[in-house]
Amino acid sequence: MNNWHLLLRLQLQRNKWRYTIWLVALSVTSISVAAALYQLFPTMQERNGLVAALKNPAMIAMIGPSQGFEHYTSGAMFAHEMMLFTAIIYAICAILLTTNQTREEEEDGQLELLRARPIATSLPLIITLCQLTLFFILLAIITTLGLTFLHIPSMDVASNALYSFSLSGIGLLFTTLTTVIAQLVTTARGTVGSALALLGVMYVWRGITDISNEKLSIVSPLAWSYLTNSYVTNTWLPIVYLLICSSVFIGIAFWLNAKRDIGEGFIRPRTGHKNASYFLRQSLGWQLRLQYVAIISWGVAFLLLGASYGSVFNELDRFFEKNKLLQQMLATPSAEQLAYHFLAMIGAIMAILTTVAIIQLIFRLHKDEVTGRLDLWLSRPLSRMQLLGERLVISGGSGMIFLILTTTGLFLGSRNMANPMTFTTILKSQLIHLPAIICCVALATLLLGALPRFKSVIWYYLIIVFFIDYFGDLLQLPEWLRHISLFYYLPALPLEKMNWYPVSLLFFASVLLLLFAFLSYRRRDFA
Amino acid sequence: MPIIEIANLSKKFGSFTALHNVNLTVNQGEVVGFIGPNGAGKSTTIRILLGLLRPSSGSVRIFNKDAFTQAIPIHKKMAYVPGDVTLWPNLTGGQVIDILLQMNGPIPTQRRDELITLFQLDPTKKCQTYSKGNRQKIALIAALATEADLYIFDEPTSGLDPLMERVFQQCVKELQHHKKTILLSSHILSEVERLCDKIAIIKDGTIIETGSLQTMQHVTRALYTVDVQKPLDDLYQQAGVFDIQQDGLRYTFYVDNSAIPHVMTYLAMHHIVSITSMPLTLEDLFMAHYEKGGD
Ligand SMILES: Nc1ncnc2c1ncn2[C@@H]1O[C@H](COP(=O)(O)OP(=O)(O)OP(=O)(O)O)[C@@H](O)[C@H]1O
Ligand SMILES: [Mg+2]
Repeated sequence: MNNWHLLLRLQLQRNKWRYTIWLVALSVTSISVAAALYQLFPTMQERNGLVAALKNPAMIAMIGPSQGFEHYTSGAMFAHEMMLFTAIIYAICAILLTTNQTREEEEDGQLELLRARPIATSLPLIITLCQLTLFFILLAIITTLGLTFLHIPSMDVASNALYSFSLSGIGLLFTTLTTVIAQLVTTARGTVGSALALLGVMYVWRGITDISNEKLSIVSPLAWSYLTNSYVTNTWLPIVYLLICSSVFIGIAFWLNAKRDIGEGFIRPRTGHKNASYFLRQSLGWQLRLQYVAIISWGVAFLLLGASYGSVFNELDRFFEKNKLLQQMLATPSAEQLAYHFLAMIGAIMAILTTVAIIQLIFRLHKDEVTGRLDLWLSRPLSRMQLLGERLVISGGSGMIFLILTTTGLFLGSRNMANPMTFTTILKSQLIHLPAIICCVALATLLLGALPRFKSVIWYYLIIVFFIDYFGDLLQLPEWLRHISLFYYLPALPLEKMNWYPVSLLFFASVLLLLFAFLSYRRRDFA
Repeated sequence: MPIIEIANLSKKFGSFTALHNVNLTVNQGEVVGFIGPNGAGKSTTIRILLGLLRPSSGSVRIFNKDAFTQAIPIHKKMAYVPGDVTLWPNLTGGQVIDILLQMNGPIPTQRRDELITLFQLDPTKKCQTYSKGNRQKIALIAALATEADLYIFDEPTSGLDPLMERVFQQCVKELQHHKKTILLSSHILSEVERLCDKIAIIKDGTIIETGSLQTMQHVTRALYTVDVQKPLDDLYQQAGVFDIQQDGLRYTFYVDNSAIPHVMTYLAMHHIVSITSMPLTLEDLFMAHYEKGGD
């Protein structure tokens, strides 16, 4: 047991860049947004204007509620706009880092090497938990200090600390949750997928309850982040919930870990067919077969997310009826306009999520390449062109289905509106983003074809685009910055008029990118 | 008729030269053993033959077609088994075999089932639950069931138990009997010795020796064991004699083949009780080449 600190040091050494990048990215996001918001809305009057735009069911479902609407200080505004969004990023960070340390190492066989040494079975798990706990505590301290140094009125040390530690608490919660999932599921992909699915359920749950029955939000651990009401009431209790819940997960993880074999999970694979069916023997067939779990999971996620956002439209309607006064006020948009505005926002977010889904499906081809799974396949009369082409068809086709599922969800979810939106209106608001989606996918394919080592560039790009689109209005980001996002060039359909110019330009660019992607994929070395 | 023609092949990974001016020809019906220490470049050569890697320079032709640009027509008449078989976790072994076979045309079901029985594989299990050896069997069955002209094996038996190794060797003998061309990379020398007509030794990215086992033995040495009545005191001074070991009145030593007449004359002048000579095994050859590699 006495070599645990050696092992911890080794792991920290190995992961130092990964940790540093996340540490910088996460703390800088919080600190810089706090500074930007304060500069944009320095006076109470300006902030109250913001409240008028944010205090409606649509925005609450999307970015979360606030107890501080009556007295919207800089701190209250910061926590309201950032807490939920940042909590999700922390959760994703925790899921990725934890999976990398647990299932992925086990898959790569690194764990087996370790276990051969005289160490306790639970040691790798202890080390993972130690590292991530240290990471999140350090992150909280840095964020607290950074926020405090900004010297923004109404943002004192105690509130900053509460804000930062709530986020780190969410990080810890998802770290421990992921360690539990990693014991149950046998693959890294499955672990990440299941954890993200749970995160999605938590987000949807709190969205729906926040606008219908606020008391029930507390069931979703994700809500514990903003329920601390940092800068408003400063309630530390949810942090206690986070700690208790994490401890329970840790207990379960160790219990499961002790009971299972290395490389195995609790959900055991069954035996299968002795022969391949006609469908599986087709090239498209087996490619589809390898993807269908991911495709179906994404599909269900899009349908549910669409339906949840759809149900927000009903609340939006009721909200307007109740606030007759609001309708009479001059500057306030009509109910229909607000609905369309919200629809456009959802369209942009779902478009980015669809892009992520498609690219994730395509990039699995690279994972298959580096693990050597494709060697046997390519030693047969199967060309790389065909392989990549079919993969694009499957992934792109799935992407189309995702957009239609989102539309269906939005359509079904919003049936209770006074004037329900037509299916076509919604579909158009989703499909308008197609040229940008295709262009991003083409860019990703080019990376896979020409520079597979740098393929994560596309993820960084999409994160930035998401950030820009999500905060574009809230932070009143400058025009040039917003143009970084390919999605920004396209008209927000129900609100704005159709413009074929950017559409055709993006299509043309995509064709070129894809052409180069295929040419380079055919010519390069296979890993 | 040459099936594989590698001429002046070099391969660089960045600044690292993995292969340097490799030349190798494999003729129709030949079984060629490809041996060399870890990291010598065997798998790299084979992956270039498969069109997975692009040569940095030189030409690689199979069936008189370019291995990289005309991979598809070549692969129609070729089968391959990698040393480390990785498969998708949620397909069964049987499904993988079928998918692979289908790509080369209609599945020879009878041959496939024969091989599955021969290798004692349970085709209903999911790939994630197969051991290394069993994954290798899947690749072997898929390759051996394929009606091909050229078979390329990269350490095909590295995970198999001795019984299965024998089954594999039997299958290769059969292919050889049908005049198929085979390139077999291996660390198991007895296997190469038993199966191959020709051997190519690669080291640090360069082929250092090619030829049949017999011709290689000619250019090198043989092991002699001699029993004498009186000690051979001046044996040490004879040219072409190496690694002398004395055990009482029994001597064992290597003699360079070129020095045989001279050594024989020397021995004839002494009182020899018995003399046995053994041709060099591949093992010895291999060791001799590996050790030389200090430079
Ligand atoms: N994609 C790559 N990038 C960089 N170097 C590589 C790559 N592939 C192989 N090498 C290097 O090329 C050399 C030859 O490797 P290769 O796999 O061909 O050896 P080998 O003879 O098959 O060895 P073994 O007997 O261990 O299988 C090694 O030094 C290896 O590290
Ligand atoms: Mg090798």
